[in-house]
Amino acid sequence: MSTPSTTEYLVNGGFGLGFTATSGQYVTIVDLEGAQAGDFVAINQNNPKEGISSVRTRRHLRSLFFGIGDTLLSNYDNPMLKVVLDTIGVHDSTVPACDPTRYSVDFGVPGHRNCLENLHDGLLAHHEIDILDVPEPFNLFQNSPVVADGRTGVVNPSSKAGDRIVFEVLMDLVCALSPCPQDIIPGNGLCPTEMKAIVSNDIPGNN
Amino acid sequence: MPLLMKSLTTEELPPEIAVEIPGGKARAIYAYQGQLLSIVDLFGRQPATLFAIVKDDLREFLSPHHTRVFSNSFLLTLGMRLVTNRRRPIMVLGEDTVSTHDLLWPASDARYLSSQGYTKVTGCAENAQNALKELGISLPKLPDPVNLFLNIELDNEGNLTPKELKSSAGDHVLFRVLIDCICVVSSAQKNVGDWSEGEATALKVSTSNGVPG
Repeated sequence: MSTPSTTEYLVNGGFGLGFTATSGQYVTIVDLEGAQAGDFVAINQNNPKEGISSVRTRRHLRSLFFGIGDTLLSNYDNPMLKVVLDTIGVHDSTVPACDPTRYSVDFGVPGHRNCLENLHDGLLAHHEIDILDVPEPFNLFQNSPVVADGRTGVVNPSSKAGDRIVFEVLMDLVCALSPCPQDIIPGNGLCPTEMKAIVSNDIPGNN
Repeated sequence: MPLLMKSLTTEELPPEIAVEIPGGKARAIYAYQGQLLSIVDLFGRQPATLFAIVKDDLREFLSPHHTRVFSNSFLLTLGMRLVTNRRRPIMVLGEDTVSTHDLLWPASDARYLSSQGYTKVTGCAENAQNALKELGISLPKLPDPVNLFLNIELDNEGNLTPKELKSSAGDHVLFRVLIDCICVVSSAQKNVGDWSEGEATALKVSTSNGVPG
């Protein structure tokens, strides 16, 4: 029997999970029920100080947004992931992960589950890493439009059940995914739901 | 003069400082709650890369990312609170003669500058670390900066286009400081990223216990 070429991970809404992927593989993130943002980060398996970088990717792309054919860079400007398939085309890379203070300071709710700790725990399962070194996330399916006067729209994702984005992996990575637990303001339809991460040797559906 | 309408006038006030930052270099100073932090573009069209780290906890720092989401704004505007990675206001933009600043662009570093053909210069990241070293400070992580005077045009499709800076000689910003912090200001290389031409020029950073001038 050959080694299975595909591994699937189910991630509960509001919780997080870490997984590894090697250069040449594909990572697919699926919004299973729709209208769910998934905070996603990746770090170099061999150097946790090298992580995916939204600011450097933004400078590289000259855009807040990214889509098919775009390469996401690390904080050393190295290529980490390339978007090869995207059924929705609406994602965010400007909003920091929700963290304990997002809920305690902004909404008066201490102790709420949050993406920063979800992502940190997910990475920690595979590599020692300081929480300060958890990269600013790419928030898949999150919808943060530019509205009047350069303000940020706060709205739900437009993703439907089954929408997905597929990345080609360009570096050996530890990844983490957190279907965002934000249930107070628009962002996940006020109800966090589960997502799926798939690591495969071929582009799913192209076998 | 009392600070923040709460200190007694008899209380000892924190030290004021004024430092000129040579073109292409960075300087770090302490700024204290209630003081006004001024950053002046002395010669015009010079980006000023600003970092601020909480004095009593180097793991807490000014974050452009948390600042954006705190006000649901991609742009820095007058009266906005600049917040830390723990969502505490660290300073407020209280006066601004330019109105064009950036919360989205990374600091330059030697590696990036080298990739753009500038092989013999250090970036704001290294300059900031060196300036902190002179105060005996080593950070666990250099945060992303607030890029004062930098003019990155944002359109409604999310496109980012570096444009010529709008600041003229003497243009400045003034922040009310809310948390004791270490402020690092770096004069960024001018001719990387399409926004200006020529050598990096000097800036001035200062703190005062009353409104300057």
